[in-house]
Amino acid sequence: MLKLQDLTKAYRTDEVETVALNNVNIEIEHGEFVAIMGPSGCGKSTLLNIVGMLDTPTSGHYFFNGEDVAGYSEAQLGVIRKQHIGFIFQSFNLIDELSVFENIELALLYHDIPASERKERVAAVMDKVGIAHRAKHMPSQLSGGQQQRVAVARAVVGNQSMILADEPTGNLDTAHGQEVMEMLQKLNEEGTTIVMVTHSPSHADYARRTINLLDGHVVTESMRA
Amino acid sequence: MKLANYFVSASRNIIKHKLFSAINIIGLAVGFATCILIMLFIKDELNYDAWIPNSDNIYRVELISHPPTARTFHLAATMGPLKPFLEQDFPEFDQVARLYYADRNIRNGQDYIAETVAFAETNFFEIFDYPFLHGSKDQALSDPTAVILSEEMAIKYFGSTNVVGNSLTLSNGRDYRVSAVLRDLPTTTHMDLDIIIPLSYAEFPQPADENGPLSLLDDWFNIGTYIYVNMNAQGTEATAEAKFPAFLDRRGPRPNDTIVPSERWELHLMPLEDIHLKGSESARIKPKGSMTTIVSFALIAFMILVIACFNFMNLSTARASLRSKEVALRKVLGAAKKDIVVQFLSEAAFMAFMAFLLALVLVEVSLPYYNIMVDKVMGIDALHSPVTLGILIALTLLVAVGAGSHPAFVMSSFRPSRVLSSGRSEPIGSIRFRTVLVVVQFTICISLIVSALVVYSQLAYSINRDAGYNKENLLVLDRIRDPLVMGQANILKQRLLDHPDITDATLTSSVPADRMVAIIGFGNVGGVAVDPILSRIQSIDEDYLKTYGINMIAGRNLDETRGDDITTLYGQNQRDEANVLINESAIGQFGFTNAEDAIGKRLIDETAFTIVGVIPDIHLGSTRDETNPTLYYIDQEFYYRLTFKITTENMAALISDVNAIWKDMFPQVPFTQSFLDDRIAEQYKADQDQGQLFLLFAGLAIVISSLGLYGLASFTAERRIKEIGIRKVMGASVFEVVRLLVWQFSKPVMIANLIAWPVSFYFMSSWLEGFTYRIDNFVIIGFCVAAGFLALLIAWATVVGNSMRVAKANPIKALRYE
Repeated sequence: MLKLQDLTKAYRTDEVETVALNNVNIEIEHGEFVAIMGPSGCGKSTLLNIVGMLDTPTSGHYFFNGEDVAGYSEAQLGVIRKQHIGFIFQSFNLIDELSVFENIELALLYHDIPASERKERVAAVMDKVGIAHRAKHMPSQLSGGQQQRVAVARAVVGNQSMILADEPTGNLDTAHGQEVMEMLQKLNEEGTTIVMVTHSPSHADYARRTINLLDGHVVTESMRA
Repeated sequence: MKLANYFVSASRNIIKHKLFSAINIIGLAVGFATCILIMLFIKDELNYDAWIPNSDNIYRVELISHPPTARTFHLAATMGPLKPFLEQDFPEFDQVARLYYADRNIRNGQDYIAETVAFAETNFFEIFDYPFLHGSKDQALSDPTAVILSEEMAIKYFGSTNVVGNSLTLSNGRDYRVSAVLRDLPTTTHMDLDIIIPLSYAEFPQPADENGPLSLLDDWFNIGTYIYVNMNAQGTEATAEAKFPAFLDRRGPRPNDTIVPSERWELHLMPLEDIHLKGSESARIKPKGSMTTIVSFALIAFMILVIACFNFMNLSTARASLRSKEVALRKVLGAAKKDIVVQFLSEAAFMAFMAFLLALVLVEVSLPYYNIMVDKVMGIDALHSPVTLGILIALTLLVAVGAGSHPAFVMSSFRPSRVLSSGRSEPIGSIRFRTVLVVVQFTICISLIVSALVVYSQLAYSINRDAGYNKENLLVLDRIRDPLVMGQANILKQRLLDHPDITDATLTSSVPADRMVAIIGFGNVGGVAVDPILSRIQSIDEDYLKTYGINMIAGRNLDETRGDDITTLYGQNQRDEANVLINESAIGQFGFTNAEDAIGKRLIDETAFTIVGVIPDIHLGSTRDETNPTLYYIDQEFYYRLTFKITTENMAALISDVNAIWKDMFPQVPFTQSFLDDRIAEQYKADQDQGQLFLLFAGLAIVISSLGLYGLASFTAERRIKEIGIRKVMGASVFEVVRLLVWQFSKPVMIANLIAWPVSFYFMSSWLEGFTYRIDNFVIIGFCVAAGFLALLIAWATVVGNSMRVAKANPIKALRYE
């Protein structure tokens, strides 16, 4: 599905150049569930942002479905992104002023989908994540676990083939974290590719493959039997 | 030492948030400055004549006339012969003095200059204790050939002010000795006192024979004399006025046997300080001040201050959301709610005071231009009185508390736990409150724009409308009624017509835009007695229609070769028969079925008028006046103006030729000429000034509102950065984000339109009702739409830059771990 080849990302301030990713080579197939681990500042989030097309690499290649998107403009990336990639964040990132329903619908709003179809799809995905009874609530009225379920629903409502999750359980207690992980696993079983950044080894165990990053390098890759 | 701490933190905050502070202070300063300028105007208007010593006890005797056949009218002037009787019968009046204005031609060696001279009675300065620069008030008016000059006039004629003893020559041939020079008076007075000559029989002689015209001093029916009195402790305004009816019956003239004077006239006392705003409309020395203008200006000042205060509140509360963490932390560290309120109030007070200082600078800088606009001479020193300064400082504090309390209370009520645990800090109510404030601001802006547009287009309409005659290329000469000119007016006309570039010329009693009108009433039309009908009368000659480009509707033009077409309405040679033209309005008013029907009918008053022709309505006055029925006749003793039509491009040469003809014929009479269309435009000067001011205020209101909107937009964008980030991740394009943000600010402007349109339509259509000839009410709707779009465009232009910046930013910045 995607292939990173000699990918490098450097941040430049006035005096210092910081290399966040250095010659990274990763390949991820359709339907995989990959966990990315590593200490703070190792480049996990940078990697996820580049994979998610929210950021562009300094050098190297990024093949997405066979297409090298490394040199694409922001607008071009936006088109690919909104068709294929869903996001889940540690801090949920729901819009405070919108209801649960509207937050989920947001992902369809920029896809030229008629209102009736949007309604159906949002309702279906709310059922799937078990949040249908909260459709009219505002995010501030929900628990963290519920908010993250809304975020998951939002990430998949557009039939995205890949979900990028940035520490999806980081702000949740154990029980709620478990809940979210099971949901991701279910999505993966239904065919969605999942790339997840996490600090928790037990949550990484849900993934079939774990990539360990240190100082911008891939240090190990391990497959679960 | 908390206060010192607040001061330090306030000034640091101001420096740290430069954009916010600049917008806030500049907006408020412009608001303050506008307010101060308007206050100066109002103060100036309200203090007319109050600077005159003893002004509380000085009154003008004004006359109310109830003519049997016309509307009651109020006159600023009264009957001159009342004066000695007022002195005899009213012990409560210490002094009674007359003042009369007349045109005179004056020179000091060079050419004569046309001047309006004030003829003042010898005791005039006993009432009006004006400051003298040279000479003394006791001597000034004792000699009948004395002349008192203002500083300005002394310099005009002699080049210096110390000119007591020098002489000026008038066109009556006499020399006048300068007896005193008056210090230039403040402009806030209802009188003009540039050149003063003693009022006496020497100036206005008694008749040489029984039939001659009376001296002005003795003529009961020449109502042009102003009488001033000063009241002593023996009476009051009320007690003196109560005695007037009996006084008039005892002393006043009897127009006929059936009416007693007190039924025909009323006298009343107008306090000196009230003359400018409340004095009678007719026969004023200077135009009346307008209470409506004062009230609407006060309203505008208030509204602009409101806009500026709303900015302040809006920006401060908006910023509050960004400072919520600071507030929460302060509270966690032990600050009470009260401490937070005091902190933010003192910050507001500090800003308001800086704005106030900046406003003083703005006023100082703009005052000269403002003075030109409002046609006044106001100095910044009007602000130096401790009372005014006190009021302004109190106002500043009021603004600080009023505008600062909302943000202070909003912020002080943040619950720290909520603020610190979630990113969300602002209650939805306060966002709504801000929207309401923006709606109010733009409602005011839109209404002011509509007002300015309506005033301006009515003005343009008034000046350019088709008034029934051709006003192009017409030049007017005044002073035809001057005794030296009158007898030779026809010769002058002929000499002008000899000029190759002058095609037509006509002598008339008045020209369009003249304020003076003569009215006549008659009680018999076509042999039938009717309720008295009023008609304007105008003296013309046979070339009038040709010169003004007017076509006959029915009948024939007047003909100077026919004896029965020539009339003398008054005086020794009075005739009681006259052939006249009437205008279209008269047909219906006089009860004729059509123009042909009117021909040959007779209208009978003291004179019997026979209608020989009908012409279209010619609108002579301002568009405020209606077109009245008018009679046109030839009376060669009543020519005041000469109008002539020119065909040349070379205006300067032509005017110099005409000047040469005039100088040749009347070397002692100053030459004055003006274009008819300029004279017409001149009568709308007050409207023009008003339109200009409306435009200025509307502009300022918009500037202040846009400043506020700009600030608000930047804060909103900042507040919505996370949301925008999410939307972008979800696939929103830059355009879609910009549209979202711009729409957020369009909504309040659109709501403002919904409120402003009916309100301004109501007020401006009732303003237009003051005009008989006016633009269609429908036009106001067009202006509403235009003003609405303008406001929307301005709002867009204000917020779009900011929105672009935010929309283009990389979303990951906003979505990083918090």
